[in-house]
Amino acid sequence: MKFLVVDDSATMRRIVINSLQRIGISDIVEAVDGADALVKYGPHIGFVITDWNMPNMGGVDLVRALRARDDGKSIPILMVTARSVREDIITAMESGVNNYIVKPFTPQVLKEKIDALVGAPIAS
Amino acid sequence: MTNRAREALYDSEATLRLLDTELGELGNVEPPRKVTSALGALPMILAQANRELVAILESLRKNKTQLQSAAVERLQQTHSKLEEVNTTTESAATGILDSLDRAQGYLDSLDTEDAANTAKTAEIRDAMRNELFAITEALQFQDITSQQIRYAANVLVELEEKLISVLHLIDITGLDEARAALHGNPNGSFDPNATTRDRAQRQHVADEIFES
Repeated sequence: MKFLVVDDSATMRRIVINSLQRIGISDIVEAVDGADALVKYGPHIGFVITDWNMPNMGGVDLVRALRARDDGKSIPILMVTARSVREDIITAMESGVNNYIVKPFTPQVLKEKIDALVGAPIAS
Repeated sequence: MTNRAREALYDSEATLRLLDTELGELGNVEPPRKVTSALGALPMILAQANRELVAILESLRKNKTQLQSAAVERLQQTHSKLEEVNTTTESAATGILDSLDRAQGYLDSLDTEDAANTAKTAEIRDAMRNELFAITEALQFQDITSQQIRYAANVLVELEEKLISVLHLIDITGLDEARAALHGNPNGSFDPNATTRDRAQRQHVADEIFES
């Protein structure tokens, strides 16, 4: 399964990718914001991990755009963000996010959320 | 003297002339004594107010250079320094991540190269891997602090905008340049509430919402 990791921070992309590799996921595509993610998205992508606050197009707008597409209606989407106000989390959920991780996160939390979304434990 | 000060003086003088004319006309009738006395004092009061206004405007004009350099320029410098902190810490974090990747690679090499690959040495290498990854994980601080810095920088930009508006009221020159500099430093996206504190508690709130 190919993962699309979307974050405007190069440091955070590296950390998310390192965390994914640590739990056995190495097929990864990177995008620097929502607009870039839409360009790189396609049927080859099986899972999306996105930040919220990004220039050009933020995470919530990206999720709405993906959910509006035929090939994006059922893709698992995990939001990894520093936003943790209850109203924000509800907004993310209503936009179509499947689960939510608050930064800073641990690889264990990342693995648990991915396992829950793909329906089976991923390789570790 | 600025155009605004000249306009204020001109308006005051015009008012005084008008009052003088009115008082001249009133001289033909017999007004009550109190009214006559109050009207007689009015030109003096207006002249005094006019002198004070001119003094204030003159003082503002004299201080414009200090205001401009002490406030607008310093705000721009502070904004620029905050941006530099962001860039520097991101660059440093990337450098540390590169080193960590290399260190992990050396550990992987040791797995195959170490002739005495005993359970004990394997255990030590695993412990080192965990430590190296803990450093990687800790580097998430850079993303959070950069959002906090962007928030602070954005507050400075707002203050600067307000200050420029105030300076504009007193006819300060060079505002267009200040505005141009202001808009030449766009901030990235940020969360004003970004924090590294109470991670577990904040994750718990998210889990509750998604499980409900």
